[in-house]
Amino acid sequence: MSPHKYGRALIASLLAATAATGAHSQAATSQLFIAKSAVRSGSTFTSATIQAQQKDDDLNPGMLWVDQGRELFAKDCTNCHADAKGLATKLPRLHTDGSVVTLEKQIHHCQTERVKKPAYAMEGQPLLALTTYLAFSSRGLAQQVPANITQSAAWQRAHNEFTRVQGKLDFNCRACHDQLYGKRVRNQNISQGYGVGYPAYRVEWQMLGSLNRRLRACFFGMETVVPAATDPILADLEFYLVWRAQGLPIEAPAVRR
Amino acid sequence: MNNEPVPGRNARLIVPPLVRAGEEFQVRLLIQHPMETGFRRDVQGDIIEVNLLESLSLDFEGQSVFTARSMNALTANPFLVFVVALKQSGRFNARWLDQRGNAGSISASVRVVAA
Ligand code: HEC
Ligand code: HEC
Repeated sequence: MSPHKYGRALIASLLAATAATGAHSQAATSQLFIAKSAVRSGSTFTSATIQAQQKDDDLNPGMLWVDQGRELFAKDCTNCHADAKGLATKLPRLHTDGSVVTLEKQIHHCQTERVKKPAYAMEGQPLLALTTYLAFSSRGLAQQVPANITQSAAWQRAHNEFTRVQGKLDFNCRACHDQLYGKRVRNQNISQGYGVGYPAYRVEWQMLGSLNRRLRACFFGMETVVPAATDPILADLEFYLVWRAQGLPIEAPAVRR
Repeated sequence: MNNEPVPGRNARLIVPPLVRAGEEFQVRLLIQHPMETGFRRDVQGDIIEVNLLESLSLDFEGQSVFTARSMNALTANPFLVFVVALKQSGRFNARWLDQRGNAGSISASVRVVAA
């Protein structure tokens, strides 16, 4: 990613409007900012052209990864998983040790422990193909959320991160995705920030990428320390985003700018 | 990177399975290719070597429909649409070659019924 892409071109008025927003504390019963009836998928914030590209599988470049993932799945995984449908709804999930298992981590686990082959590299094309195929196979289904999720340490860690003001611009995730959605920043429409479209084809990337990569782009945009791809805070956030999405169905592979 | 497939190996050639003779329809071709411009740098800051699709063609039963060379203003994962009309059933075949010599091809059949 080239630094000048994000640069410092953030609109000053937007900055003024959003400074120091993280301080609000919600009632303990619900930490959700956006009412369930107001929840909108990220796609609804994109242009008509992008929406058309996402809706038509013949136009959606993400389908190239789906095709490849279907082949890889048939080769290595169908012995144990007869049907790919629904598998992706179970992730991310909590591990017994309190950490979060993402879809990528689960696939790595099955590859090394069960298929007995080396795990595919993060963000490499074969892993993206598998994750996209699995997410695609669960299209229209909601990801599973544990009933007592807000009591888990992972949720708490992610919540702290989501609401923590950080970076040179004094932003937190909430400033943009809970409060400024529908407005524009750096020539992009801000959505409510859910993960259900991912892995997604981003025109800026000129390829498909994971939610992990999208989240790192947001940290970069906040001009704060960008966590390494393997940093557990990113897995915690993915888990948290499922809870925030309040049952919004999976729509991968989404198309984004 | 390990396990990375050859650029241009994956593609989709989308045609309607059944058309009427003389009726116009779309042939859609989507190729998975990075279309490296030679201007980008990798995470280490090294230039990524240029690698563009340098030739691309579509034919129908051996008859040329479209050919192109040196596609350096195309996006990554290029998507092309051709509007055609057929008199008889047959097979479309698309082929391409990039600057590193990776070749790819894909084909799809269309059945034509009397108008
Ligand atoms: C300065 C504003 C800003 C901040 C702060 C910010 N983001 Fe984003 N985020 C964006 C923009 C712009 C996009 C791309 C357009 C959109 O919202 O879908 C985006 C996209 C996303 C998406 C993908 C949404 C989709 O449907 O494609 C997720 C998830 C997300 N952000 C999560 C986060 C998290 C977690 C944080 C805090 C670590 C964060 N964002 C902080 C601006 C921001
Ligand atoms: C030898 C059997 C076996 C093979 C082969 C296998 N898995 Fe699994 N997989 C399991 C079992 C058992 C679970 C249950 C959760 C656990 O223990 O990790 C699981 C869980 C999963 C899950 C989470 C959904 C759930 O129901 O828990 C995903 C996603 C998954 N596997 C993907 C894959 C992929 C992708 C491959 C091929 C690369 C693969 N698996 C190969 C046995 C297998």
